[in-house]
Amino acid sequence: MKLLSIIFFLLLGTFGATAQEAGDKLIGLWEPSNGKARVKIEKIGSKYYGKIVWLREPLDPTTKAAKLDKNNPDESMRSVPLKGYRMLKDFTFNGTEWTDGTIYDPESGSTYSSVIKAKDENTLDIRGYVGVKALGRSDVWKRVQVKQ
Amino acid sequence: MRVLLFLLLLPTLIFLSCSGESKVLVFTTPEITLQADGPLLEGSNTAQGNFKSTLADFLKTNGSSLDKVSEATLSAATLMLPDSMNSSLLSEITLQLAADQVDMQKVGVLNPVPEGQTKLTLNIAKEQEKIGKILQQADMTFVADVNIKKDTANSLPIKGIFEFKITIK
Repeated sequence: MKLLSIIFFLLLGTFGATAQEAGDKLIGLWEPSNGKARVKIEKIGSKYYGKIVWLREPLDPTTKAAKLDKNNPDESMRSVPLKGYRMLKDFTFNGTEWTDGTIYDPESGSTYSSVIKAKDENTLDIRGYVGVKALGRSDVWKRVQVKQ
Repeated sequence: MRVLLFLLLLPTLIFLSCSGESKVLVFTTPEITLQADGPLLEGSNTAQGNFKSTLADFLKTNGSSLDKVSEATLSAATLMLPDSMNSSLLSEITLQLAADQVDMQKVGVLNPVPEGQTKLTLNIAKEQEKIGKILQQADMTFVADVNIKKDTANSLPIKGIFEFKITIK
């Protein structure tokens, strides 16, 4: 009986580690289909977050300075630079997809509920929606290979 | 008659429900290290520091408890850079709070970072949500997104002291 318990807990530990490894496949550098930005996804605590680390057009055409989050609904946060902006927040891995997160659209200042599915190792399907998932919009992101 | 009585009593009921006294306490964290492990590349890097919340103990010593917290906001954030590094390496800092059961909240920013300083005071967000809920978690994480101007092989340990205003009902 003792042996059975040990085997059970060992299997449980292995399953937990595997699920965590599968979830961590989201970590890395990704590019949305419009190619305007690159987003680095990392893990903080048990959740996944993504921030903009590269912009094709980093400067504001009007001010000629670095682009800021000028559409943020909170006026006091409009001096936050877009490069470095954490646009994917609070995703948790449920074994098959990353859910319960949000995606921020800096062009409109709107935040949407979001779910991420991995099509394969290097392709993500990111869906943003308000209320009903079926009524949302999806985008395909490709992994950016980092040169060593 | 019953409706009339209700309408007459309504202002009294509203007055009574609004007159419950509330008090504001200031809760200051100990020094927390937010670490970004090097080598760090030019651009945005993440420095993070875990904090096991001591709010419950703080409230207890002030004759209150977590269930009596009606609102909480971050009111001040001071970051100290290591002596070997001044702020000239940094261009912007954004501060966020994260916890497992609550979504991450942006609470402060410093853009641009003033040059040649080792002690930085962040501008605090006017609109803050769910800070009380984050503070009530056993574990929370202070996350600083730090934009650096050039690559460095070193790690960046930033020490931070954070002050919260806690409203008790």
